[in-house]
Amino acid sequence: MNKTKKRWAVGLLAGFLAILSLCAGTVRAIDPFFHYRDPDPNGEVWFDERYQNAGLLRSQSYETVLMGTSLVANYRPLWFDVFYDTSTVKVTFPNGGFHEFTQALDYAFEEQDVKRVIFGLDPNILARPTADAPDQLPTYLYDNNPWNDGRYLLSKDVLIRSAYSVWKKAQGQTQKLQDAFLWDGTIYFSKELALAGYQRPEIAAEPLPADAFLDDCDENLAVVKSWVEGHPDTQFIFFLSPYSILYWDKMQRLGETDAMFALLRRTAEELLPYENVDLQCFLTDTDVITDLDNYADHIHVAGRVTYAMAQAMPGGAYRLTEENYRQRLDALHEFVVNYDYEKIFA
Amino acid sequence: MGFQSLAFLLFLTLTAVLCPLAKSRRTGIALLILASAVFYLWGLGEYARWGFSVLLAGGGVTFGAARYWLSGKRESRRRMALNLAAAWHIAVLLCFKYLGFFTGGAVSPGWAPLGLSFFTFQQLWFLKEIRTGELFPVALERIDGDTFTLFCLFFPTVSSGPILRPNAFFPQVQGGKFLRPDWDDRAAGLYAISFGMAKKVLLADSLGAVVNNGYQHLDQLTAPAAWLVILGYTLQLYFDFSGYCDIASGAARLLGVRLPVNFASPYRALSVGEFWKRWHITLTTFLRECLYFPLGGSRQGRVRTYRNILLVFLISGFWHGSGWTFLAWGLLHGLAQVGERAAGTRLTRLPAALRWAGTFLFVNLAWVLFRSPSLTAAATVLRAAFTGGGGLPPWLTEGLFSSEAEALNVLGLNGRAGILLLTAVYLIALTAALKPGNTIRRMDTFRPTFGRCAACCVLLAWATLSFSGVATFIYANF
Repeated sequence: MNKTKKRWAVGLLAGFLAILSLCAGTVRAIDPFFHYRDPDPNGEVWFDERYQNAGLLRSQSYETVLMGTSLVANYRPLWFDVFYDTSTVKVTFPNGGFHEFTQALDYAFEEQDVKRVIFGLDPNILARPTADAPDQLPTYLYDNNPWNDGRYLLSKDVLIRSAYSVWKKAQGQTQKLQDAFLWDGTIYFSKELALAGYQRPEIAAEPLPADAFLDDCDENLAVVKSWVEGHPDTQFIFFLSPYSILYWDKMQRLGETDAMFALLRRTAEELLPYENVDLQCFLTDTDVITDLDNYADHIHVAGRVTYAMAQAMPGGAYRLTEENYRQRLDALHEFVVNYDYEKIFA
Repeated sequence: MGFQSLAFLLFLTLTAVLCPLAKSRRTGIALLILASAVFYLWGLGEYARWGFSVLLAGGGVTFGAARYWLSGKRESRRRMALNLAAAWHIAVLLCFKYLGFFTGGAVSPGWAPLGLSFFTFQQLWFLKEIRTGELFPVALERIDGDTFTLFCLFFPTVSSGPILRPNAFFPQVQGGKFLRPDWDDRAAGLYAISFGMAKKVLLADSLGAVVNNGYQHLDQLTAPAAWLVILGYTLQLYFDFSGYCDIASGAARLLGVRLPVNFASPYRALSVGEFWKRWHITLTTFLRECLYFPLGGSRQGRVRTYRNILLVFLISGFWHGSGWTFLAWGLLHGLAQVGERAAGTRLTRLPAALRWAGTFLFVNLAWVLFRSPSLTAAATVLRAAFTGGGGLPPWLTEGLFSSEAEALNVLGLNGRAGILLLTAVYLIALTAALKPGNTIRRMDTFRPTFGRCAACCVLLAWATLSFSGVATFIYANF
């Protein structure tokens, strides 16, 4: 029996190792997350920002990092290459958490000489408690440690995505690197779409206290400031995306307008003193925010608007300074408080 | 270090290869202690170091009391030493796991050493057997500090048991098979590890996805969804813990150590009393020998017997968790067994199928208390099960073999993969839970056929390739 059991055990181990080797070999060869190879700029299968951005940060040559949540997804890196005369890599995480952005930025600074970070500073994520922020980055991809590559090579999820990648390529369903994770071409931005995706909340009985978001905002800004302070030779361009008038309708009905403006003021107060910070506020462009044909929902804006914003950034027309930020934010406050929201729904 | 990780497989391979190479038993024990320390401390953060120190200190207290017992001093003083050691263990457990409950959260360390509850009961069992003489002084004298340290830290059992009584461990360490496994042992170990990994990773965690979805949408639970969540948790808990025990047994067997059987097809039980003879057997044995018998067992009349049963199950509930839900769960099981005793032979005359169905339903419903974060949440689940609407909400299958489901949908199932996988997982899990025998008993008797080899190979490989995103063992929290 001992001999039979020996054969059985050795067979089991050999078969087990053979299956693992086959999986690792397949993933290594196809490399759907670009851990070992550079992505083909003319055609790749893009399916997961958190997993594939590490490969972009490692393989691309860049001096500018364009980063943010889904609000930044509809920007093409090429625009910034032209407008800032630079080379750009885009790294976005839908609903990203500040800890995730920190991990990605650290990896970028480790890999390249980053001269500029353009970051979509989403007020919604500034107001979010840190405990609620997603922290889902596969850390084993955001380093150059070969000892943890087993988690990449020996994963059935990656194996399935490898097969998916091969299948999509065989069907010619690929996208260029410039178009990676863009979604503005797949829908038609319009007032109808924006309203369809918006659920108008009931009017709150009591408005939120003006300082309601400030504790969480301070905690999140502390992370942002650590980037700025940790890299004094890098220029940080933070921009506030133009949330639509529907967003302010929501704030008004929930009684959160004053709390949100307190957050915006705090953000300006905290970031503007830094010499290497440029804060640009597109929230105040009332022509854009009141034209709901620019939107897919109450915050996500069309490619034609993101292009115009990218174009405007170097000129500084939307730049907040220590001198003008109160006046600009007060003007926006005045506008959203007095806006006739009912005409949207008439 | 969790069992369900590539690091553990590498660690186990190295340990199973290197420790048996030790020339002497002493060196082998030292190597195994070192390996157990690495297992405990690896990747579990700064608290693991403190937790490890707490276990080492506890082991020192027990060993000191045991040595004092052998010192020949006056018996009352020696008994006092054992009592003090037992008091130490109970105090440490109370401090780490129950201070928050008793103080309403005002005072709480906020963490507890991994495996403290299992460690405490194992130490108490050791002290009790010294006191009662079940562990003979001659046998006690032969236990040196190294062997006792290994008893405390033995990596297959340190995080979640099985709770080892002294006789289940020390004679083996002193026997000829220790660190000298033959191919029968290795085959048995690999067999148990393959099935254990599959139970934990492929079944328990998949069922866990459904259960978690249910608890995250309590207000949207329909009646079918609530029943699937209830049954899902019943199966999840069984495969989670029995899967862990299979892996622990397999790992120990690769080192020439046999662990006691902890599960014997518990969901085939025909009564709640029988359920507890089949579920977490080492805990039940500990509670019977160290609590129920010393309280008088069933020898002092019906009322005291009932009191003793209720007390044992209240303590069992409280051991599992410091919350009202666990107390209520323990009380329910205690009451059920009191009821069974009171009914006497009238219950056993019922048809077996009816008794099985009644027991299985009771156990299922009682687990709702065990899983729910509060009594209110438990009531919500139970209310939904009996009065909720129809239909299966689409969120129920989110995260259930998500990559496989995505692939199947891409290949043409057009969104139906979730329901198909849900049906398959529940059918396989129910069949596996209700079939007779268990892995630990089968690991010695299975026929080494090619088919079994291929099945184990595929199960182990699939589980290994699924490690990423796998949850931790439920029982590691106790």
